[in-house]
Amino acid sequence: MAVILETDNLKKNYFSKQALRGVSLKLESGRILGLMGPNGSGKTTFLKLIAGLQKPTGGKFTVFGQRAGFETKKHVSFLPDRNTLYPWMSSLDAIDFYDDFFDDFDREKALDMLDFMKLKKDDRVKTMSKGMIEKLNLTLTFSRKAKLFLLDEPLGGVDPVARERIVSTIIKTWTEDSAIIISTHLVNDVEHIFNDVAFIGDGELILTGDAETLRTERGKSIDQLYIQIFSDK
Amino acid sequence: MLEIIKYQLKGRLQAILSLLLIIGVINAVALVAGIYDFAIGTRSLTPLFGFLIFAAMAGTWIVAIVMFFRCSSGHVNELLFKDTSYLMLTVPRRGWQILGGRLVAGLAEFLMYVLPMLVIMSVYAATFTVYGTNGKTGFFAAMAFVYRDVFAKNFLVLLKLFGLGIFMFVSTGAFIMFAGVAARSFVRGKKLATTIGIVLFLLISDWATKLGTWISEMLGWYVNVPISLATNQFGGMKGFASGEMSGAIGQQFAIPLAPFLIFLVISAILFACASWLMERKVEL
Repeated sequence: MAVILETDNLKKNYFSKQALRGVSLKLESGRILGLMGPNGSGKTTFLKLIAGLQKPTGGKFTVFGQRAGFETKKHVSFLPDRNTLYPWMSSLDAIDFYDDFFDDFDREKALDMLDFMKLKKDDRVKTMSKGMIEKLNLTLTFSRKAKLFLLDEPLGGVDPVARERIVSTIIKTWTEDSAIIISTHLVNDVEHIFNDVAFIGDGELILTGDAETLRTERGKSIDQLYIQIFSDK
Repeated sequence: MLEIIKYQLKGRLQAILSLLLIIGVINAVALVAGIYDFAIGTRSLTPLFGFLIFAAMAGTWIVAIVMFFRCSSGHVNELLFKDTSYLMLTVPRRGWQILGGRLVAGLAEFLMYVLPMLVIMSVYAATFTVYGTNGKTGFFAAMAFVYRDVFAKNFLVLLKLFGLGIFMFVSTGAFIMFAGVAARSFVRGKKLATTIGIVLFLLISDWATKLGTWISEMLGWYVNVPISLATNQFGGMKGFASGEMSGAIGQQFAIPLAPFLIFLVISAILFACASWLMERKVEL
C-alpha cells in the first residue's frame, strides 16, 4: 500500500497559542482514519494545514510523496466544516466550477451523486438547508479522483437521514488507491467505517492505531474510548 | 485564469445588473422630468429638473468612482475574508492566476458600468443642447453632434486617454491588492487588516505619485494630449443662446509621464509580491 499522507512533527502556533504540538502520523492508501477530539483540540487546524489553507509553523508533511505546496492541492479534496460555495451558485454551477478547476473531477459521478443525494440541479445554494449544502459539498468533494479526502465534521448539524446518506456516500466512495480522514466528535455514527483512529487533544496525538485492534485490546468501542480519554480533560 | 474571470463575473452578475438598474432608473427619472418640462413649454432648467439632474449625475459619478476602486481591487476583500475564499484557496491555481483573473474580471465589470454611463452623459449633453438652443437643435441631431465632434473627431486622443485609464485601473488594482493581501497575511482581524490595507494603499500611492512627478519635472517627461471640442455647445448660456453648432476649439493636456512609468514598475513588483503572499502567507 502506498503512503498517502505522512506528517512529521507538524506544528502550528497562533501567536503564543500552540494549536498543534508536533503531530506525526502516516496514512496508507485504502484506509479511513477517524480523527477525533473535542472542540479546540486541533482537528480542524490539522486538516487546514494538509489542505493548504494554513502554513505549518514547524515540521513537515507530504501528500502522495510530494512536499506541501501548490502540487499537493491537486491530490487533496477538502470538505470544510462550513459552506464554502458561493450563494449565487446552483448545484449545476457548483459542479461546473469543480469541473473547470479540478482535472480529476468526475462530472458523471457528480451528477449521479446529486440524484442519490436527492438534490436538484437548479437548486441555489442560498435557498438550501444546512443538510442540503452539506450533501452538495460532499458530492463535490467525493466526485474528485483525489488521493486524499479530508472531511471536517461532515455530520455536524445534519438530520439522521442525511447523516445516513453521507455515511453511505463515504463507504461508496472508498477506493483502495486513496485515503480518507474524517474529523468528528459524533463518533458513534461513523466509527464502524474507520480503519484507523487518532485521538487528538490540546494539539497532541493522544492515541493512534488500528481501530479493530484498539477495540479488541481495550475491550471498548471507539465511542467508549473517546469518552474515557476525554472525560478527564 | 480564464476560469477565475468566468466565475468572478458570474458571481458579480446580479450586483452588476442591480447597480446598472439603479443608475438607469435615477437617470431616467431625471431625463423624463426634463422631457416633461420641455413638453409643457419650459425652455430653461427648472429648480426641480436642475436638482434631479444634479442628483442623478452625482449619483452616477459617485458609483463610477467607488466602483473604480472596488473593481480594480478585484473585490479582493471578498477573497480574503469570506468563507467562500476556502474554495478559491484550495483550487490548484497560482496566486498570480487568482489575483490576475480577478483584476481582469474587475476591469470587465468596471467597463460594464462606464460604457452605459458615457451613453447617459452624452444623452445629458444632447438634452442640454436642446435646451440651450431653445429647441432649434433636435435631440438626435445633438446626439449625432456629440458622438461626431467629441468622440469620432478625437478618436485617437480618446484611445490614448482610454489606455491611460486602463493603466491607472490596473496599477491602482495592483496597489490595493498588495495592500489587502499583505495586511491579511499578517493580521487575521478583518477591520484591522482592512485599515492597515487602506493606509498602506494611500502611502504607496502618495509616494509613487510624488516621486514620479518629481522625476517628470526634473527630466521634462510629459506627454501632450491635444483634444478639440465644440465648446460653445456646452460652454454656458452664451454658447447656448447663439444656437450655433460650430466653433470647436483645441485644448492641450500635458500629462507627466514618469508617475505612470514608476506606477508601472511598482505595480508589477507589488502584483508579484501580492501573488507570492497569496500563495505562501495568506491563511484562513
